[in-house]
Amino acid sequence: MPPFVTHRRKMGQSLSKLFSSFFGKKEFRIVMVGLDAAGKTTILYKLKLGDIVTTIPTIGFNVETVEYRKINFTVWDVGGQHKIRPLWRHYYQGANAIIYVVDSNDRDPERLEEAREELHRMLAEEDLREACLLVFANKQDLPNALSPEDLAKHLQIYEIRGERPVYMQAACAKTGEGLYQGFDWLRDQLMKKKK
Amino acid sequence: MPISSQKKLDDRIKALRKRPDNRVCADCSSKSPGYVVKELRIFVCTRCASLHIEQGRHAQNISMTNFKEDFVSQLEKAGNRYAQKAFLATWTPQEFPIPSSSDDKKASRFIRLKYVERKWFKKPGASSAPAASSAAEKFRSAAAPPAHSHHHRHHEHHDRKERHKHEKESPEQKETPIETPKKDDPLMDLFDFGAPSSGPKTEAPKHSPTKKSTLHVKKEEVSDPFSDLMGFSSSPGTFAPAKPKSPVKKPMDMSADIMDVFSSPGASTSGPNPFSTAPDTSFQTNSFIVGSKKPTAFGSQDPFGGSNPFAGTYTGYTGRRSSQGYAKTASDPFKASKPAPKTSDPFDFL
Repeated sequence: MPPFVTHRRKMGQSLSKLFSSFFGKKEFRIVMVGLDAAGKTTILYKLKLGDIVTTIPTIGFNVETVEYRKINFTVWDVGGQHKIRPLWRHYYQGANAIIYVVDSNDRDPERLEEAREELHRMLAEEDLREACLLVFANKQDLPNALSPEDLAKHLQIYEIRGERPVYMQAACAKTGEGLYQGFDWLRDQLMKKKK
Repeated sequence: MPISSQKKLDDRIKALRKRPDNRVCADCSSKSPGYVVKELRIFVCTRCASLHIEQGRHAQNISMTNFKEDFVSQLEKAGNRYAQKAFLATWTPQEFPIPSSSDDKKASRFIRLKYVERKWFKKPGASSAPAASSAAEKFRSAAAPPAHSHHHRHHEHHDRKERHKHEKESPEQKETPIETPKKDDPLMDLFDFGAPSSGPKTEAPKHSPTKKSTLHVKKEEVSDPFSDLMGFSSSPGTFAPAKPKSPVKKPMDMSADIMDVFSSPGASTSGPNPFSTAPDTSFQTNSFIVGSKKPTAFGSQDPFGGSNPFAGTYTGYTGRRSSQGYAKTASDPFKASKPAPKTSDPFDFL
């Protein structure tokens, strides 16, 4: 490539960067994972469309950009079934934050253990060293749901070490309750980091 | 789990999918269903899987899930044939033709009637099990096209006639108080986990299982795939060891709770709806930060202890927790949640 083209391109880039820092929107990349049937896809489309969509278990991923309080969140919702969990790590690179979704209504000890294991396995990844963690205790509308603090105990959220900011939020994707509170926190954390 | 043993389980599932009854979706006429509904142990197509999810059940993609050994053996005993026999026991094609693979609305209604309202549900009698299972299989293939309706309502098929005889013969079939609740019974909604109206009804975990009883339930599940599913356990037939099970609550299995609630209707109406009692602000106040900023708070053995930094912020869930028997006082839910496991925390076995 001729040098002047590169130069012009670079200039254009930096200019647009400068421009966007004043007027444009900030952009963050978020990876949303969790066991199957936790409600990740429902959360994603509740945020995107404000509506409940009929879902089938995600194979692969869904990705949407969600604008909230002048920030563009690119949310990757990755399928959570057993055989595709090993693929999660391919989405980690460059992620500013992780959203971990848990089905509060699933009191099966085996499933809780699975959720705990996957969470801590994920947090051990090098690519996610800098990422903040938002945990959604989803399906809080169901009468049998575990309280967020019980869930935190089961997931051993208190044992997460290091400098990572962690936040647990009770949520209900069906009604949207709690989702924006979670994103408020996420926004604050990410903006703090950027400065 | 080692890969080889998972492979074996996958092979068993594969074989199970080839069984004639499992080759057609349990709720419509589509071929080669790719999903399993966990609570019902049936094979369904993609569309019906989404409908089951919509109604609050858990559908799993067969090729993407590592099934557990005991679930596979349950599935081997259950499957579409078995569900057919139970949930479509008194059903006739004229009454509600099997929905096509394209008519979502009809299919949704069908699934609701079939599993939530249990319009055609009948506990399969123990004595007629072997005969009826083969009959149900034949019946299924015959029923797929909604046509040929000449016999009267409950005897439109030869095999079913035979089955009815069996049912009449077995005395335990007559006393089935839990299987046919009235249609307008609010408890019928119980299977519909998602509906907000079901909020106050499923108060089941109040009677929390002890460590032993939970293990007990698990063992029984293996021997009888549907015992916790449809309340067969309350029948004196060979299908289930009846009594030890009924007082036991397995918190995760809603369907078990349903039948238990049926047998003791008094328990169903107690307890407030967590969402109606809790103020709307509950979702704004119930989150807490666990961060590096306050490492001392989390290093301690007891994160909910007296020096709990979140105690003040946690006011939102008092309604819910008191309905589960966690918190008795609204002022400090965190402290209250501490002694709860001794009394009624269904998780004290963990």
